[in-house]
Amino acid sequence: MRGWWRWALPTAALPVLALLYWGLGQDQRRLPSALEGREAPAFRLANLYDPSDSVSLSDFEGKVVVLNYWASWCIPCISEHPVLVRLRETYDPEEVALIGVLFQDRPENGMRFIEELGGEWPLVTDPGSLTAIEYGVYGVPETYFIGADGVVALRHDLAVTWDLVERNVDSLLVARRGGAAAGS
Amino acid sequence: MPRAWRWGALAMALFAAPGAAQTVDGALDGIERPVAPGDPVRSAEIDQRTAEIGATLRCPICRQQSVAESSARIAREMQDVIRTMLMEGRTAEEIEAYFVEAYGPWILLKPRAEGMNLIVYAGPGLAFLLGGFLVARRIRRGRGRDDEERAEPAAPDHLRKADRRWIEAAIKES
Repeated sequence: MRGWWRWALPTAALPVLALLYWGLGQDQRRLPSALEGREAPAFRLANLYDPSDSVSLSDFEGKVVVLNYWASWCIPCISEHPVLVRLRETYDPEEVALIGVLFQDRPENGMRFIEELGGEWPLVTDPGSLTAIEYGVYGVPETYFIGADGVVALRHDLAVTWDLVERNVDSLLVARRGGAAAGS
Repeated sequence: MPRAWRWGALAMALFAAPGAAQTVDGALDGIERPVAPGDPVRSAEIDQRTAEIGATLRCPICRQQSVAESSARIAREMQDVIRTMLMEGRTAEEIEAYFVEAYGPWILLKPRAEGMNLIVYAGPGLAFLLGGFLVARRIRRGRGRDDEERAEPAAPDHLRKADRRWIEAAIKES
């Protein structure tokens, strides 16, 4: 029996070491998203340029939706903005919708930002960050790729790159066309 | 816009059926905190409950701080949501579930005792029990050995056979 605890102790330490190894392998800056694989929360938010008008997620039913939270004070938002412009120019708005949600910012600052950098897609405000909280937004930029079925496929919590956008949108478009073909 | 009306707008936006219109505020930025109308005792109670629930939730920006402690704007907005939900009569469990649904279990400062989290809860107890068992076993074995030694002098079993034969021969010769 003397040898029993000699191997039992290192064996007991193995799960702890495995857990430590797994933990160290994780990128602590990346945060989990509870929304991926679930239906995107519905919203209706005021248009940035005309608060009497509103934009709803259901307005884009059946389309791939790229929902981007941004702010004029957010430096990475400036660097990702050309990618969003390219997204809008590349894909058919009948298939892919891009919606920008202004996060914790004044509308006039948001409008100035768009005036300087350009952008022709629906832009909305989110008073009290109610929708942002429902989406589990940590900060900006954050981008949600939502399939035509309304399910969140990916939440990206850094500035998007063109590769990331193209890969995810193309994949969701394939699924959309597949779904449409199966439905017809 | 009157305060109470703004509070109502927040509540409607939060609890309205999916697709229902969210009230739009022209100012949009810097919405006033929802305040329970009229009853100051009720208001103080809601403030206290808001702080208690906020203390159990992690601030998404200042991640080592609770929503109640953090001065980040998102934390204040989350407190407003908690306050609004309390005014709607939601329980602490429902409010916690709402935030877990949006942010995942990560948002809870005290992880739930389920899944991998069980390691955190059960690990120290199991380690303590295992350690106690090993120590007790060692003590018991030590006592048993002492008793054996007292009952019968220890045999020189560490001697090699050749040594033992040499000693036995020497005893015989003497």
